[in-house]
Amino acid sequence: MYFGNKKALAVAIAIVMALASLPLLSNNVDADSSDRCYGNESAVTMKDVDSILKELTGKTLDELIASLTDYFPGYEISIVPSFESDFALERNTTKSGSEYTIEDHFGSYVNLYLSSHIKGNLPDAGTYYPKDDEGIWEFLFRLIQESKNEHTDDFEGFLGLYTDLTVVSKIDLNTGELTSVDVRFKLMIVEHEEANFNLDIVESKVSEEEDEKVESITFSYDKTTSESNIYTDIGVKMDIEGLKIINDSDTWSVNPKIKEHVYRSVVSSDLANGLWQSVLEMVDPKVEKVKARLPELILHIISSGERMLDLFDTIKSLTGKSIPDVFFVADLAATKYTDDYGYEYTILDLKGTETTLYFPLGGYALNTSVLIYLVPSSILPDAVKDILYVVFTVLGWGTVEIGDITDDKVMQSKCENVFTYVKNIMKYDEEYTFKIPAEYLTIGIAGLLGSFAAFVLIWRRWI
Amino acid sequence: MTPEERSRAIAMWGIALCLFAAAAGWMFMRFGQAWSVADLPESENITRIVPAYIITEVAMIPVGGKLIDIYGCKRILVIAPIIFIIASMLCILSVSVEMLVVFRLIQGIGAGMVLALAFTAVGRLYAPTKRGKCHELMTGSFAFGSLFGSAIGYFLTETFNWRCGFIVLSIIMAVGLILALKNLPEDEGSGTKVDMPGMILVALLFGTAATYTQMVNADFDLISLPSFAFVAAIIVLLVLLFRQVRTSDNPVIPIGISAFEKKLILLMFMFSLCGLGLIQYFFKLYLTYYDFDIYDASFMFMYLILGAAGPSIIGSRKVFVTGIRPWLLVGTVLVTISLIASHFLASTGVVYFALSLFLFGAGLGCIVTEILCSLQTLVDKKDMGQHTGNLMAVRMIGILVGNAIVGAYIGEIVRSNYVPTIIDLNITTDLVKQLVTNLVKDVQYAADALNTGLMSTLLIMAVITALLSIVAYKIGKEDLDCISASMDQNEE
Repeated sequence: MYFGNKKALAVAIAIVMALASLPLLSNNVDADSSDRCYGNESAVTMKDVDSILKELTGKTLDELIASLTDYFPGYEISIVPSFESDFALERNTTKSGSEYTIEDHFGSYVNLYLSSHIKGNLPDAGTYYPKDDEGIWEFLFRLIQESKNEHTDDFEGFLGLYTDLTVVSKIDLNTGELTSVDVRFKLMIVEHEEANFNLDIVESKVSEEEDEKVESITFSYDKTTSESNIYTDIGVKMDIEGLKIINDSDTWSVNPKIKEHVYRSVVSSDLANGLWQSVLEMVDPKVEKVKARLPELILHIISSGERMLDLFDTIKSLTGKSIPDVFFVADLAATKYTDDYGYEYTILDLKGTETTLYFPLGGYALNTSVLIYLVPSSILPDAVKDILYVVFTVLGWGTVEIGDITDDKVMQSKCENVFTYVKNIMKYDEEYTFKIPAEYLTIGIAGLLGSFAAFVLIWRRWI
Repeated sequence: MTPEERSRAIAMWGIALCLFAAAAGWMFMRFGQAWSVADLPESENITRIVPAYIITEVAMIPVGGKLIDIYGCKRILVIAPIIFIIASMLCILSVSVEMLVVFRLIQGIGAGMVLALAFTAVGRLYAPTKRGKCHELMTGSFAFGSLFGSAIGYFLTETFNWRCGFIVLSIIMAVGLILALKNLPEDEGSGTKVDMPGMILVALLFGTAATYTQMVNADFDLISLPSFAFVAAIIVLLVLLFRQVRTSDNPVIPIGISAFEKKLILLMFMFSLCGLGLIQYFFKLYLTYYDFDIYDASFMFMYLILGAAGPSIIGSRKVFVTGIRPWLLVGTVLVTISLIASHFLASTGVVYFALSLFLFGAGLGCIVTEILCSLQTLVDKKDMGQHTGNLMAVRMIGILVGNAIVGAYIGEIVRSNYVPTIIDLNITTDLVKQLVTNLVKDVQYAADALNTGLMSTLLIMAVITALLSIVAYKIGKEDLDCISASMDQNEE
């Protein structure tokens, strides 16, 4: 009997183990040998910044700072910058049945610290007005030259810029069509300043044609601390019909219909006024009536503090109506293309315009010099493009290869470190706001206990 | 004024403060709620924060009324505001939207009982001819709380934190409680046994009806399976409740009421549906069509309150002399005219919008308080809570049904007329400009759709109100008979 029980137990264990291993087996079956990981990571240091400056101005940072003393002899000038940044691009491709999924992930951070100390003759606290037709630099230079008293200007500043972009694209391998793209973009800018010197420049614009003119400059030497932040989290889902990007022939035409749906539009900011205004300035004047009404409230909310606001949800809660989806149509010429590194792309040319999209199907080589000059000049002026070209070239980003790193655990780990760093910074910001403010926690607990006590007392005395 | 009268008047002011807090609690998270609780983790249930309060509030009005009959005003006065305050404190301590929804449900229980208490206490503590002033105080308090609740909540959230609203409401409720408790005269209840199954059924019935009105446009369409399921559930609960009250020794809702009272309840329901149910949409219309400013929109409703004040002050005092009929007739005519005027004028300019609201308020001012005063003259003190609670619950359901019907109708207009924006990438040179223009166009469309929907609804409501004048005309003079009978008794 005893033996029989052991035997039964052994059989039971064997069955359980077999059942338990089924999912493992099926996972293995699902796993496709074509699942790949592509990526690259690049850090920028102070040394790189020095190289860029040298290329652009002919001087290193230290040389530039030293040259300031030539302009302002007798002044004690010390500027100590510190810079760190890292960028990572990773692409994971998986195949499950006929569905091919491409998950692109871009993460980056830039941390800039700046400490400066200037001692010498500076204008006394007060407001100064320029002479006729005096430019801002001319005016400022004159004020400094004319100043008689010694002042100290100490400044400590930090600027952090964090980006997290995830794009998930799905392709139906049966039809070769790109069926959906899900974009999730998070951006955070943090700024902290401590200074004992402030400069308030008031400018005005007489007409649209003329440049802004300085009206006054106010100097003050009060100690100030300021903190600002922008946090955005935008989620856009695009359902696509008729965009064949994998085809047997070398060229073909497609007329995709894209349904765009914003499912997340969170903004948290105390700097957003200018941003929203600049977006509105691009809007046709005939929508002035609505323009003047809606943004007032939204702006009011956005600029009121550090809390997060879902723009679309807020519009919905105020009007009872959600913002509808937007549909896009296009007429595209698609072409197969293989670059010098052997990576395959589908090039999509939008007919009637100069817009060209490169859709890589696996790994890819980012030719930034080409990409920069593809951006229309109305968005990025040519002068800025030239500077960016120099910057990218110096950094060695002329061509960035997002190569196969499926077996390169070191590179995967480097990319992961950047993503984790950015995620942790943003998580800290998001979680911070979830805490109950201390004063409300105290009031809540005290109120709760007080209400119970009051209830007992009232009941015993009056009832 | 004798010291006793003064004391009673202070108690009424205290209860009115509690009612103000309860009414403001309904509306104070309505607008911009997504922003209001934006420091809580993201949740799909964010849209449940306002309905949660309304559901239990409506469910507890008839229950609260009946409990007042059994235990007297004073005990309910202690329990209801304390529930509200405790729930408010718990709301402050919420760390998730789900917690907030649960605590809002509890808060609504307190608010519902306060609402029943406010109008029942007037009936229980004052003679019929002296109730007018107090009812006016309560109705005014309720109107101010409801109409300015959103602005108050918005201001507190904007200036401090959404939690601050709960603190302010709790303080108002606590001040009202203290004032009322110290001055409210002794008011013993009947002490009869509580019909627990009946209480549960009536709470479930009104709660389900309120839930239905809150979910019908947001979670499912009016013509849909869940909608029919809700209606079926309401019918089943109604049948079960009537079975229960027939067999109960102490029924939770009044049975065997006169045709006169039935007409009053019907008129209260219909006027709430046609009149008060529209107010929220007037608010939204103003927000989307005129000025996207909550404070301006709230201020605009001063015209409605101003319009209502005059007829209401006179009506609540004179209804005991004239009877309810002339007031209802004048009210129906004014509401009908105001609805037609709104249809033609409301969207033509802010002045006309204000005028429409003023007329609308004047019509409602002839009806709401007067019905309440008239109904309470028919009822014995011992059953005051039961009758008043039911009338007020029916009134709230009327408002919510009105909201739901108008919402469904406007939703249908939005759906059927909306033409999705299609942007042709081949001819678009400035995509950002196109997208922002599209966003603005959609907001304009929402305003236009709301305008179109509300304007047609106004005409339909005007026709219904005009028909209600027939019911009003046919109403008898039972209230006057009851007053003269009670006066005869006093003389004897």
